[in-house]
Amino acid sequence: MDPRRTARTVSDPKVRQVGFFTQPSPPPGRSVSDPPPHDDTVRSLSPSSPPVNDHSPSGISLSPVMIPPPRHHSDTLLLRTALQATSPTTSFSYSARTVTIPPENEDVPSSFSPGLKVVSGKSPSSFPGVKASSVPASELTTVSVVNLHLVISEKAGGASVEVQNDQPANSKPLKEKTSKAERHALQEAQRAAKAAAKGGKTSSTASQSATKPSKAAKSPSQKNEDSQVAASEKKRVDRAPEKDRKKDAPHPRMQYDDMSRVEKAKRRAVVKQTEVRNRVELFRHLPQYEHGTQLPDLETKLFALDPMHHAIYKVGLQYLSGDICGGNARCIAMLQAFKEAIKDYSTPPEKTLIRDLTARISSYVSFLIECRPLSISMGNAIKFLKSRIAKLTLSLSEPDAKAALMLDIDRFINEKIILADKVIVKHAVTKIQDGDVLLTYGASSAVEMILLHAHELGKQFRVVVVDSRPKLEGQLLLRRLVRRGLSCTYTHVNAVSCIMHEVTRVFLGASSVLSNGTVYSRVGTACVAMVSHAFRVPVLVCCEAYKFHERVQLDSICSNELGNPDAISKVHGREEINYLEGLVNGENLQLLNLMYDATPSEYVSMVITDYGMVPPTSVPVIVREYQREHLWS
Amino acid sequence: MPDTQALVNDFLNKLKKRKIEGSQATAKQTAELLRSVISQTRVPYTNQAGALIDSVKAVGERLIAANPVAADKSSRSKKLKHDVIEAVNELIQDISTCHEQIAEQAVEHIHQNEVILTLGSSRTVLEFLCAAKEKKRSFRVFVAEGAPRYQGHLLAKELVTRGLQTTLITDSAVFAMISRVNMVIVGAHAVMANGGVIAPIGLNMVALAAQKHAVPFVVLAGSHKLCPLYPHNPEVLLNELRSPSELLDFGEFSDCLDFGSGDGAPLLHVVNPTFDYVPPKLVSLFITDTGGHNPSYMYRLIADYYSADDLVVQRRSTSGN
Repeated sequence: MDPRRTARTVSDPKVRQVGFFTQPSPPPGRSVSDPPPHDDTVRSLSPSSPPVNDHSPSGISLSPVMIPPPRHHSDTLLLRTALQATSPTTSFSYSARTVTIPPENEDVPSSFSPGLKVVSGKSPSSFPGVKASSVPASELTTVSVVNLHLVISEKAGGASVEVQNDQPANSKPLKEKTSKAERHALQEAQRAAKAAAKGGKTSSTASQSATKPSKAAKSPSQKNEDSQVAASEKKRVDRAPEKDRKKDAPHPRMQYDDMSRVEKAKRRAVVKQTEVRNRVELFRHLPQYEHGTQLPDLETKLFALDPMHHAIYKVGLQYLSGDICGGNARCIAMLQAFKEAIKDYSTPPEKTLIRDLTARISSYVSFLIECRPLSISMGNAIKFLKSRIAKLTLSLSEPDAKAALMLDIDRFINEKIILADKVIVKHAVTKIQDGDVLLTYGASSAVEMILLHAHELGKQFRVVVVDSRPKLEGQLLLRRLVRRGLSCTYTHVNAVSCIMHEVTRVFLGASSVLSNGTVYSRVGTACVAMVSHAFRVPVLVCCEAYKFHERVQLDSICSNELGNPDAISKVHGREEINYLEGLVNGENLQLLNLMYDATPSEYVSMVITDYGMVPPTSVPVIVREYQREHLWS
Repeated sequence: MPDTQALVNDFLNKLKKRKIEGSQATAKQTAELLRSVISQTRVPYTNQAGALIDSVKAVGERLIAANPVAADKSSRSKKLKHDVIEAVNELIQDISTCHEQIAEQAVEHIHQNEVILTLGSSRTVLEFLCAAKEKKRSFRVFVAEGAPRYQGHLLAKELVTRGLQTTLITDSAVFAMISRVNMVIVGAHAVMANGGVIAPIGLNMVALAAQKHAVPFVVLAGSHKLCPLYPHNPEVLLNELRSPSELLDFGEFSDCLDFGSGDGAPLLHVVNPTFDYVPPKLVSLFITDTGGHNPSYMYRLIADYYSADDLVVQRRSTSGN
């Protein structure tokens, strides 16, 4: 082994320094054996030093090209030890691991001992059925602690079952996926939890020791004995690590050509939707509704909708009318509305806060979906909120729990959106030089911030704003830029090949970047990226990391949003163009108003995120390493 | 020749004010104008051809000065007066019937259950698609609207009234939809000698998308659209910029138009080009009234329509010569 490499016991083999980087000044408290910054040298991270506890990953002094190590590396370390525990060649000792890991999740409202807190905080909520990752720790700690942890992770598993289901109308088919044994164990755990809530903390351990046999019941052939349980857990260690790593495939979304599901959804629907008469056949799997009929209908129902909180209702109406538009804006508005709803929430008698609140949130989400289909950023935020609710400890009083949730929401907005934007702007302005001609498409909040910041820094550049029908969002961006003194050129998307020969860089925003590197963004972005690629102009996509998603998409047809078809037949501002009057309801004419499209990853040179500037192929890495542990833990 | 001068002036005015729309109409009227010029030229007994050629050239220069992009309407010169007039008549005839001849070939290229994409509006394309429809081929058409003139709406209306399944999409959705398209069929404004196409704006984007998805890009062009020039900087030299009011409403943006940078240059530029250049490597096939051709073959067709001396109409300087 390379003598320069430090001992393996404290190294995180997943962290490698590759590529360009500047000399990182060693952060305080790092381990003494800081290796010299060579390529491919494994960095040693002593678990005793808090890696970066400030809020943004940019606090690490790394070059933006490198993906920084995960903040809660101890979590991955534990996973690693679980994996490597089975191999006899390594010399890990569990005790070393569990003792030295510092409490990372300070804000998890729990009153447990630090060792346990780490263990509980570690289990990511998206591992539904597998608890064995925590099993090694159980060998050391007491039985009661183990059971408590197991209960919590089961609850996390239960929540994750719901979490993975973004379509509230489909909770039934989703539940079928989890095995019967798992659901049984889940119910036992929740019953025990209720009993625990009533009985207080001391009896909780007693009741939970009763749930321990139920956990063992998962493997059907096991008997309810301690020794047997220990043996079965040991066995599960072997199988579990592989299952840990292999995640479930994300569940397919609701397809609207499945008539039975559509009927079920309609029955639960709050907003009455009438289907468009001339549906485009290719898009039968997406909802196509008449626009313009929903708003008055909802307004009349305002006072009849008792269970709907007024803030949610307001936000839903704003989505429906198009007042709030854009991934970040919609997500922030939704989270603020949830905050208000949580503030006014009170648990009904005979119900637990966690289950009832989760159900309430799901009903709000289904209402919002009826107003306008969720964007991917909103979907991720909802997953986060539900996982935070699920992680609430039972012993918290209701005001404390509500305060903790509201704090979590604030933290999410602050860290994942506002600060992330600042980091993105900081990275991106390094790519703008004097004399540049920058092209952007539509109106992206991130790109606008970048351009304004670069202008404030005094860089001399020109902007080309490309716009398209029917939303004409580029005009809003154009107005804001010209007011701040940037020199702009405005054109429409057809003319992009005429103007591309003067352009030096293209900055695009995104609604999401998917796990195969495809950029999912406003329709027309793919055209701009393609033409830029043909003219060899670099394309930089600016997207916050919370918008990344694990699903994949090859073209723009599989998943999209269909807008108002009337926006196509009528041209705003030019009334003389009304050739299609009278023909719109004919049977031969269909109008297609796509909202999104999928840009293939080969047209994108670089994705600028709050984790740095990465190629589009690194997006699944960020999804896998960061979103599970940070977003939803 | 006072009468002809009046005629020529009249025609030039119409061109400048864009009252004549469409390449075919322009070509026809040019040809008719030349015919009347020729018939009224008093020909000297010697050098009849030269005189004719001179008069035609003079008119041609004025036309080019008025409308530089209509380069293909210029030199058409042949031999003697009667022959010349006959030839011009034939030319006019050709121009009128090119649509039918192109449309006859439709049935070879469009089959059952195909999906066709087009952008903007071209009468040639309309006739082409309708001819295939008449032969009982059922197919679907995606029409991209072709901002900022929105001619796609016109084409969609025509197709719908003739019973074709049409879907109207925005130009930005072209890349999204092209993966489901079997063929792209478009018209052209002019075809250059290298096989490149001067086409309505947006077609270069469509051609690139078609190349990426391996969809054939078929250009329908009557032979009167053939031009002997080679494009050197086509986006700039062979283009026209139209009024920004088609893109931005002056009323809404009047406040932005007041802003200027320190040296007085306006901060806001609006670019509204009319034409796009599609390089020959993106075109799969040209369908003309003489049949289908490869882009690399188009230069041979020039010889049929242009004489070698007249490939470029020189601008006579006013100082004489």
